[in-house]
Amino acid sequence: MWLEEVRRRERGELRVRRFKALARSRRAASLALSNRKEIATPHHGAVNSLQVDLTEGRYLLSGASDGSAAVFDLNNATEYEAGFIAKHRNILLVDRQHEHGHKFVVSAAIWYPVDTGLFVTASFDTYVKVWDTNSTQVVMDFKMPGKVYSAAMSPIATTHMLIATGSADVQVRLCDIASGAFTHTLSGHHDGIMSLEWSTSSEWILMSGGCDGAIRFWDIRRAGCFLVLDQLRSQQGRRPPFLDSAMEKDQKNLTSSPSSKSNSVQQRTGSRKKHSKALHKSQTLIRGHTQQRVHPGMSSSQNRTTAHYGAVTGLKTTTDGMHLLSSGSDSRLRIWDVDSGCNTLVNFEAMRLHAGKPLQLAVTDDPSLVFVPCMGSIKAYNMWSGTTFQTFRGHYDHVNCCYYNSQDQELYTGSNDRQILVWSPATPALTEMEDDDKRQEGFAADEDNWSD
Amino acid sequence: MATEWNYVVTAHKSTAVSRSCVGNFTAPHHLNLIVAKCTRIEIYLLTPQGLQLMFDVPLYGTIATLELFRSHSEAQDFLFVGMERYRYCILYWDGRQLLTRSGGDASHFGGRPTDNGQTGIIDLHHRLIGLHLYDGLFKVIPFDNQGQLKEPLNIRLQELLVLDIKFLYGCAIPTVAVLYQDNKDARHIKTYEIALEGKEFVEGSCSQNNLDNGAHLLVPVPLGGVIIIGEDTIVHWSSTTFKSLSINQAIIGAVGLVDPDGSRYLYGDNTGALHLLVITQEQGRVTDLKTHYMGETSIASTISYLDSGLVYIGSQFGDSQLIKLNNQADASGSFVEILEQYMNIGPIVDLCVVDLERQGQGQVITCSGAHKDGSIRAIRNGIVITNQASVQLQGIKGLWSLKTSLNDQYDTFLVVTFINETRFLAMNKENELAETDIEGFDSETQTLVCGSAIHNQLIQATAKSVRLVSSTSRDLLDQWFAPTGFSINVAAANASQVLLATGGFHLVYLEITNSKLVEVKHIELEHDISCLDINSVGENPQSSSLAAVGMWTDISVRIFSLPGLQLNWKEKFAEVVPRSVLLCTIEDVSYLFCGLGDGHLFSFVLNISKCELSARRRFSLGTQPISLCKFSSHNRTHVLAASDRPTLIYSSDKKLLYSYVNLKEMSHVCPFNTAVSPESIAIAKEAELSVGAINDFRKLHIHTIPLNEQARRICYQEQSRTLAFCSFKDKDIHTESETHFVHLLDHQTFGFLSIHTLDTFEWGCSIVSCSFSDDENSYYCVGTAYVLPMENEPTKGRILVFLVEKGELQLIAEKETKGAVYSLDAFNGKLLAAINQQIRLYKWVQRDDRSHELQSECSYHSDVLPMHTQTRGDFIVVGDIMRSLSLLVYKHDEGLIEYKARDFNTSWISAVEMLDDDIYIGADNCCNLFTVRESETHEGRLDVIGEYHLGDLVNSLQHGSLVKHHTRSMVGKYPTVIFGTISGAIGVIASIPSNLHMILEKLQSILAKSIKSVGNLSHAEWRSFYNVRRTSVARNFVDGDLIELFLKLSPSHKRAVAMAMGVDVDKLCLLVEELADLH
Repeated sequence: MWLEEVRRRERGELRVRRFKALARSRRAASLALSNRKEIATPHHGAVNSLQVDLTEGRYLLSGASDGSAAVFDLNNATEYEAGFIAKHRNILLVDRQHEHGHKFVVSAAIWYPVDTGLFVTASFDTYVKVWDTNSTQVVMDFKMPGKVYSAAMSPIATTHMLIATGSADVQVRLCDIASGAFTHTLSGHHDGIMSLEWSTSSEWILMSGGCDGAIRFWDIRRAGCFLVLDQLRSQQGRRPPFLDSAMEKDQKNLTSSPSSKSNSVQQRTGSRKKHSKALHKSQTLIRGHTQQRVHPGMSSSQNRTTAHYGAVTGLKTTTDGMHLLSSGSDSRLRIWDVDSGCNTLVNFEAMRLHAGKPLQLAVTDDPSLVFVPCMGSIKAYNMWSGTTFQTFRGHYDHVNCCYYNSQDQELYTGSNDRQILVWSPATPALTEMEDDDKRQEGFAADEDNWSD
Repeated sequence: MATEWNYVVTAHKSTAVSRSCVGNFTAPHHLNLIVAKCTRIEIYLLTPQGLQLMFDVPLYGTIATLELFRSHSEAQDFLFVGMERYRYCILYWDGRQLLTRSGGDASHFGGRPTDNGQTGIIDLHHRLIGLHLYDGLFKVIPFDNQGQLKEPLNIRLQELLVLDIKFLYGCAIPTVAVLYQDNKDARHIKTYEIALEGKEFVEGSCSQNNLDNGAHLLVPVPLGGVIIIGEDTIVHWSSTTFKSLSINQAIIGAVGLVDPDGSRYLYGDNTGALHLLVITQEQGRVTDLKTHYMGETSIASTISYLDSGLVYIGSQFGDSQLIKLNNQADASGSFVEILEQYMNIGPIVDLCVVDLERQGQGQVITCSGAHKDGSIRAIRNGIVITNQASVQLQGIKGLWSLKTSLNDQYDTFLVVTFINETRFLAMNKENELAETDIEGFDSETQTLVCGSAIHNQLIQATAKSVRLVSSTSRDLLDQWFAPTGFSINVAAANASQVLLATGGFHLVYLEITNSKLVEVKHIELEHDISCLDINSVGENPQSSSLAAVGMWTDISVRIFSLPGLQLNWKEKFAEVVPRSVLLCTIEDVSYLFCGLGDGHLFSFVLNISKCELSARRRFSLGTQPISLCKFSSHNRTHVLAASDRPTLIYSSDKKLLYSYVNLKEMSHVCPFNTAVSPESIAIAKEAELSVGAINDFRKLHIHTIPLNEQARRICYQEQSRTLAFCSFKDKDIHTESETHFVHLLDHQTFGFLSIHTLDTFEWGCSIVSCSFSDDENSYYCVGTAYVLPMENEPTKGRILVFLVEKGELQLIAEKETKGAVYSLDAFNGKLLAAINQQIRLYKWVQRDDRSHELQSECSYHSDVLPMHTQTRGDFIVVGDIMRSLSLLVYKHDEGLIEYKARDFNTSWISAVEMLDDDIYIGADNCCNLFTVRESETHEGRLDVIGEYHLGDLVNSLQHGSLVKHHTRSMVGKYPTVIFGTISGAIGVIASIPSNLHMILEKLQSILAKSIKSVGNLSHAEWRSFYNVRRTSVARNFVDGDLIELFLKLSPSHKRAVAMAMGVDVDKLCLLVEELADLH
């Protein structure tokens, strides 16, 4: 409750950070379809990508299947409907009519992280284009070998201006805005690359998720990938206590050989949790192997390890860079410990994810909630328990992307129904009673769904 | 005119104690207490007389952690200090000063700072410093024998929500116990061994799940294991034992180790109760826990056991204390004896500036403290009289000092009179005041007046007679008797004249010659005389040509000329009789002061040649009769008005200024100038005679009004001369919920006049004094919220309108609102309220039955939560809880509030004020100050024009000044804003012109370089604006605290600085001294 928290902050009982965290999470918990803010999209196709600029947190960039990209000013509404519903129209639009516009689907539209003077669009017409925001002209373009599925720029980079791009081709390409050339091609994946994410703790680390089900970590200063995430490795490879390890050795010998078989069995039964516990011991063994290799990522033993069965459709790191979220066409969401590369085994409640398209996931700052496009709705999961916190229903068709604006605690979602919806914290003054009921329900549902 | 350049200076330093520790810091045999107060460290030495402050060290950083530790080879302790902004350093004492052994930066890029505050712990055994600053990360810094730090290493922590982390005693491998909360809010404890070479934690042998839900504190026990402090239980837990002790529910904020072996601990909770925890053991195994109630103290934030029963209780919510634990309980069952209290005015939750006499000198009234230690504090600049000596003496009726000869520099005797005796004190050879005899004087009766006269004579007037005595032989030389049947009622004397009034309305004028008293004139008046004065004004210092006479019955003061006793002027008063008159010349202007029986003082300018009074001024000083006394100090003449609110009257630029004195009451006063204590004054209080001196001419002093509940919002009403505040009492055993009140206080005596209790579950959230158009009354408007247990957000509140009638709060009107009223402002004869997300304007409408009501006029839907509003003209500045500042404008014609501009940064605002029409200042949650102005290039935008890191959370910003500025002085022209912070600091922000800003900025950078900072911390880095998103260099703000350090530098150092500045050192000194006058 604001009053109590403000009072405790005033006298220094509640630390400022805790106060902010409480306020943010409370607002995030009350998200609902905004009754005060609307975004009027000019798109004639599915909205595939959404991002708010990182400098001011003010301009929303969207990319759509009709080959267009648009920018909206989130702070200043263009007009007000019925006196108080703020309507935000695009303040910038580049579409097929534009002389340099993309011909096909825009799969990703991202801001240049340093300022809002540039933005980047990636399209199925195999081009990645860099736009000057003010003149709406293409400053630079990069031709890719196939449909471009994703593009990413490091939000923290100070020494490079690289756009990482993933396409139908097996290689990740880094395009340098400074020189206009490709600087790197990162090889390792066996199939197209659906999603890319730069690390939020090191400007050199890039993560890529491929249609081959692998998530690879690249240090762009070195050759090759240095880590391939393995969904079966779930425990830190620390030295086991002496007594236990002696016992385990015997077990390892027993379990190591049939472990590959059990994989396929597990896939069918689907009871991951039970299974993974049984596999603990064999994983330590794998880790034992890897430590001997110079380039573990290139090693044949890891070459086929997968993070998901099927394609990796979405990647998202938490803001502190300690965890990575991934979604796959196997309709699973996984949280990875970035440091150790372990699967944290958070068991997310059943979901159905769109398989054939990249998905844009979102996570709150704390991180406590994960927003995942689940077919026609968006689900918010509790990050650490995996339980469904809330389901946002509002779109009429498949949802492709969501973006959480942690500054304003607003969620923007884009869907095949060509709409961008704004989900904002409920305003108690206007919707006092109904809001309370809703929240009450939310909590009740919460409790029932504890899985363990 | 406000400018975009600001000068920030602390007028009252932080007082809230956040950390403390005990050790041998300054010398191996010294027992030191080290106390952290926001950005400062205080080092105390324990002496037989108590705690003695040795040093007060300001640091460039807000202190987050403080630990003393000792390397194996050293005899003295090192001090480890960690800052909120991730700097850390190790300090030591080399016998003369505080030096830095080493330091560094512990920040981790991209890390998420812990919500629960930083932890800094030291494992003495393994020479490790452990820092938990970011979620999921534990930083270990090894140190060597010399206290030099080695390369730090980061270790990943699996637990994301760590509540506390401590090193354990007696482990072969460094081991930490981690108290953490899982994602289901259950709390557990676990141990980890630190494998330094692998940079990782190895899970320890033991863990304990599902502890007390309120478990929040770990205390490692030297016997082994750890104490887990919860809200309902205290547990001793080790690998082998788990002993639990249930306690009455309380939030324990501080624990202090008593015995080095760890068998006894003191802990204090949020009700101020102090308990002793005793651990019994058998052969190293803990067998039992017991707790004993010790007594009540302030709510402790730290407990440091010093020695032999002495304990320091550091508090953030009340005054810090030095207590002694007695072996025997007193009558109330308390073992606690409070030896000393250390003033703490933090947290300042709200403040108002009251200019009592409209002199421009503000008195700051703060809502201070929290819970049971809540109080109202009145803080003002005043004269400080330091007590030099005092004796217990009951019933003093008058006080005079005598000189042997008028040419003597020092006074010899002090005459003290009582109802039927008079005593004479003199300085003896040991420079002590001892009783003596003056044979010629009558000591059997009350003295009316006493003084030194010409020709080495002394004069005494009693009811019966006037005596003239030789000051050398002390013999009676002459005596003048009152006419038979009459007695002398009042008398006044100077070096050569005596004026007295006897019964029967007689006024008698005597002159003193060599060994003779001569009656010169005798007249009869129509009324009784209440007071007289013939202090010399004009050229001749030994005699006066005028006499001032105060009269009963017709309530007047008259001016007679001497020696003829011709009436020259008559000044009438309304109701109250003058009780003391004084003629006095200050700065070549002659004044007549007249103190009335009800505590009012009138001043007149006296034209000696024409015998005319002019420029009549009235001041309210107190409520008791005033007695006036003239004295000189620092080569200036001052007048002290003794009453229940002693006041010093002095003059500056030929303008009279009034300043309160730090004494509660004084009945009589006289100058007492002796060799031991020159320029002192003798003061008679109710039961005490003391000698004091004015050494500090202007200093903040603080008057405390304890409440035993917490005040949250306060405001002052000029019309009714009252203060009103909202407060609340925490729930306790007797009440199920909190009770909220509106209190009314007298603005001078701070006496409680009236109280209004709000409804159950109703909280007072805001208060303002407001007057409406078409209504001459001033009202107190109180905004409330109904906080119902089952509601997430308040959906109902009220605005209550009170009128002060005969010192009572009368509820005139009330208006229900659809939410909590977070803020109220008087605005264009209307009332502006921030209700949940709305800004709503109410007008005051008269109903048919002539009563009034509030009627909503218009509203504006704001951002997240507009907590703070300020208004000026038609403009409204709104400080949103998380969306920085926005500017609104009220359109009179349309009756609408419209959005004008906003700052698009995401500052979480804690206070806001409008410096002038264009420039607004805000304080944010990250302890920054910033100024904004409407953008010239971008419509609808407020541009940030100044940024500064204060390091302390500001709760209130208000226009006002703590000092009266001389009209001609430079600093008097700068508009100032006063702020109050959580740590109890009061600061002043002055708008300075650009040329001065440039000079000061240069001086600041030179000083930052030339003054060696403690801990090698950088001043520029410390003052740089800082929040989660960005850090940027401070701009358009100058750090006054650093500038003022210039005055404390050695002369050669000053010269070097002036040289670097390229200006004259004296000019620079003058400039900085003038700036120091801001507070």
